[in-house]
Amino acid sequence: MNEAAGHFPGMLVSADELLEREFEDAVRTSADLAVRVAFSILRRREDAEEIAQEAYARAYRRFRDLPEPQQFRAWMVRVTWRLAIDRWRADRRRSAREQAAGEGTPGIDVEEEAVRAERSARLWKAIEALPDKLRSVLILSALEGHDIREVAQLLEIPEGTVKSRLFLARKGLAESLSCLVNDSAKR
Amino acid sequence: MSCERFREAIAGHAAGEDISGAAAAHLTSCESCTARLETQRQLLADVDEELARTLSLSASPEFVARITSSVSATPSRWLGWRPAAAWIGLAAAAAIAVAAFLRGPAPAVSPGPRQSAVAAPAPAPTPAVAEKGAPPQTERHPAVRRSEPRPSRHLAATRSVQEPPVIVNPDQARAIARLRELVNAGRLTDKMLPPERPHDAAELAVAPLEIPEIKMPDVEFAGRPPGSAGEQEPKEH
Repeated sequence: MNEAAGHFPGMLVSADELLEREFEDAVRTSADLAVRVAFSILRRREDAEEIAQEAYARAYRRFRDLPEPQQFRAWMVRVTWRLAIDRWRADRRRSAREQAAGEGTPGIDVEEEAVRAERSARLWKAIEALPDKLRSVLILSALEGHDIREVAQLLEIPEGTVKSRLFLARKGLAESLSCLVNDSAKR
Repeated sequence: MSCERFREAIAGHAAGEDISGAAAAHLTSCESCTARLETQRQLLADVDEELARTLSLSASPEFVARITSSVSATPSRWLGWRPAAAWIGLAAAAAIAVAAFLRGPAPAVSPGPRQSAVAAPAPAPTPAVAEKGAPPQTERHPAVRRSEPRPSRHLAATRSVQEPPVIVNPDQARAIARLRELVNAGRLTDKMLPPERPHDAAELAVAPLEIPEIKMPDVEFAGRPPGSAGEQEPKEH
């Protein structure tokens, strides 16, 4: 009796703490990925970390639902991506309203920027114009050197779909960027 | 015109797709399309470089610390989330409660109305209740109804909130709550528990909680009985 009772309190504490420790480990191993995913859309570290933090808050509430800990990274990628896309769209709508009302801060004058920044802006404009499905594959395959198999696991889609989406994304970028280059050359 | 025809094939080739047939033949003979292919390849290399450069950032150390500290600060709901953990906790609390009862004298039972209601046996239904309020199934077997204990309403309420169907009296409930507090606070150790001593099963048995049936007073109606043909809602004027 004593022996058993002596073990129960330990089990109570360890069951609780074990899960918290598990979650903290999961945060440590996936924090960079989550922030990078958010940054690839928002392009501001503060915003990216804010969105990633929100994603972790959701993850904390639903950590119990994950039957496999290996799914945590994939789950975090998807949640962070969705939250970041939502924020990006909201920001875009707000900035459009502000520009229409003439209340916004003066926009960045691209001509005054360095050549590198201009090229970067052009590339990101083309990337942002891609459909979400293509963009997510393109960015995730660029993140941490993920190969096709890893991207397929993160997005939970077949490898063949990843390949075709990646190809379509690159093909779309090749076309849109060459058009941009031609247009700017004509001007 | 023909350049426009092969535009998509050339973009696909720049993205890594093989090119063949007429498109390949055109590509070898058209300087403009060859230049276009080279431009597109260069642009895609720029994209790769830009992505690699931009997305190489890491989460700041404060970020990870912020998340982990907020997790620690949040009141834990793991026990509520994990049914297995919850069951372990409840089993532990029940075991410790039994140990606490074995340790000292039985707690004094206060003669309050609630306690007396718990201890009182269920009275046999009055004829009036049996005729008006009892469902027909039980009415067909009055002997069974009298001899078997009726299911407690507390038991039904307990099941509705997904808790184990264990019924304890208020003193036991308080003891379990107190023990759970001690366990959670880490203030309960082996030394605090009583030494093992032999006991029989009857000593551990807990009497089921019974609630006496409510005796409905007989009501006499001065006028027409309710539901009669003449009864109508009062009209508003």
